[in-house]
Amino acid sequence: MWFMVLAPWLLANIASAGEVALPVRHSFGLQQLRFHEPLVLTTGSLVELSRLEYLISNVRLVRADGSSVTLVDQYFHLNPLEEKSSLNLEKVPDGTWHELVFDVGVSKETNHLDPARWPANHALNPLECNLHWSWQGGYVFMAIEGSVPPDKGVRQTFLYHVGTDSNLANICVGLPADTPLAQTEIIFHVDRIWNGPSKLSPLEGGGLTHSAAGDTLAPRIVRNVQRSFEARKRAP
Amino acid sequence: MHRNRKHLYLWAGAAILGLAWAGIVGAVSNPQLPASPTLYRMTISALFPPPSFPQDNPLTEEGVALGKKLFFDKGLSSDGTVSCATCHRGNDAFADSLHAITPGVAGEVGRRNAMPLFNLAWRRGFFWDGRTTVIREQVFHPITDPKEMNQPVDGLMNRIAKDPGYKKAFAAAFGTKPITSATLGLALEQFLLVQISQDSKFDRARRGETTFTQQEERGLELFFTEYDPGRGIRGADCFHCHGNTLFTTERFANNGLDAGDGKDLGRFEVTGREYEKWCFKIPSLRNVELTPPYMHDGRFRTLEEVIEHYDHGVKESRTLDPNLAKHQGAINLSPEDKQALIAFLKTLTDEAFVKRAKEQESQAQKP
Repeated sequence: MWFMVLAPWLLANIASAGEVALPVRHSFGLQQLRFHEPLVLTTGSLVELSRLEYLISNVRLVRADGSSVTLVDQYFHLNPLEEKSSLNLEKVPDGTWHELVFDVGVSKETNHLDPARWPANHALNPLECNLHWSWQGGYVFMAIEGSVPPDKGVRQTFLYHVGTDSNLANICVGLPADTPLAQTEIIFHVDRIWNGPSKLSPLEGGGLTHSAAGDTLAPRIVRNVQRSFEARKRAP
Repeated sequence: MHRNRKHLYLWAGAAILGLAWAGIVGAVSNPQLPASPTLYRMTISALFPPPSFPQDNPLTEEGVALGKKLFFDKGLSSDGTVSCATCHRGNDAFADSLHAITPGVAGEVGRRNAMPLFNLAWRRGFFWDGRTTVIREQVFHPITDPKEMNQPVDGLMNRIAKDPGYKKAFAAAFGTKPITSATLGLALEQFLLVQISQDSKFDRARRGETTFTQQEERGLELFFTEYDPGRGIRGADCFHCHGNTLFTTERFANNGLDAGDGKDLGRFEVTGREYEKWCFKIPSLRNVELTPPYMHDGRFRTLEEVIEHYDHGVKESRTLDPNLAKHQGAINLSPEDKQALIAFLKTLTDEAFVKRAKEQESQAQKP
């Protein structure tokens, strides 16, 4: 009899063992990120975002003693406009975790693999993520597009296509104490793209970067992105 | 070009898996297969990402043959004058180069240009506004549209069910299951899924089997290069929307045809999202030479007109794609560069595909 009572619980938990959905909340200052609406930077500048898409890979969970587990071959395409805002982690061992480390982008090796190898719904399938750069090989690690609201009737756009191997952004966030990973959320402070260690205006560098050799804007954006993530206990 | 690798794989293996799956799952609920189906075999270029074939509709010779019979049958329309192939002509890579908007029954005219039909296994939404995502559902839109084939489904199925030729073809494709609109949709889906265009000069060049002329090379360079004059880069920026092997991102964009006053609101009519007003499906540029007129309303007759539009005709509006808005009105390509771009676009023509499409058309028209 006890088995019949426990069986559904056991089955549910066995099925989901090692799977953790880690939501990524996109904020802008004290607000939730909104697309196609004016957002105010701390400098007073206004921006309207039309696109924010990025790739996350090489997720590593670190224990307090410094030992860690890397979640190999797990790639994530995030697109908050289309509500793709979760890292659905697999094969996560039981444990208490101290830090979460990940890359925005993909490793040099993965970056130059044939993109035709990835199945239809894989994060790195070019049709799935729309972040593959066929003209110079490799992926756009993060695409940020939008505009500055019209001044005297002229709309000025910005497009930051951050990629190439040297612009891989390694992120390390401390995890909240006494909080299971399943009750944790990641927060991406999108406003810090402009307001981080590098102070950037939306139209910096003509509002364009394609991360070509010699480009200085993309590395500055990467430095800011590295300081844009944090982890918190999820609100109940 | 980049790679000499030639590696094709047989879809049959996956089809076998699909059949095995159908055998297990379908045995209980929905077999939809005859006793001895013939697997449909085809090769898919390794240059393409893996396709997404529906697992519940395994491709068989019999299913594809039935789909072909239906596709070319004018009897699917209310007055017997319009088939799917009326708007999707084999000669035009299954588009219609004769009309901006193809007339339907009794000369009725809709409002959008017929899109070419190939590589649909990679397609993520159908029609210019992406209002359906499943082919078996998509096919009933033109059949029932009063301005296209104007055929109520019930009337169509009554006619098909009484036709001895169709009875035989449905039995061959789907066994003893009754003839229904569901199996009709599956048959058309199978026929459409096997229309794959993957052997253009571009593909052969990537496989190292041919080389581009100097002009085509220049066109390719322009196509895949940014327009960023501030950094001395003056490409044509085409790749943002048409950049992968399929020459479409499968997304929706406002490409500046109108200054925020177009009557056709495009994707907005499906989603209701303000930012998708005047956005339309980004079409594949494969076979673009064969598929005039261009744009959702067929307003441009020639590739030259299309290039002129992107060169200096893009109109600003609040939903204009940022990749075009950054051009601020013009990219001012030289006449030589415009011709080079067109030369490159013509390397995307797949003569073998069109030959096959025409053969299918003539086979289907035989009594």
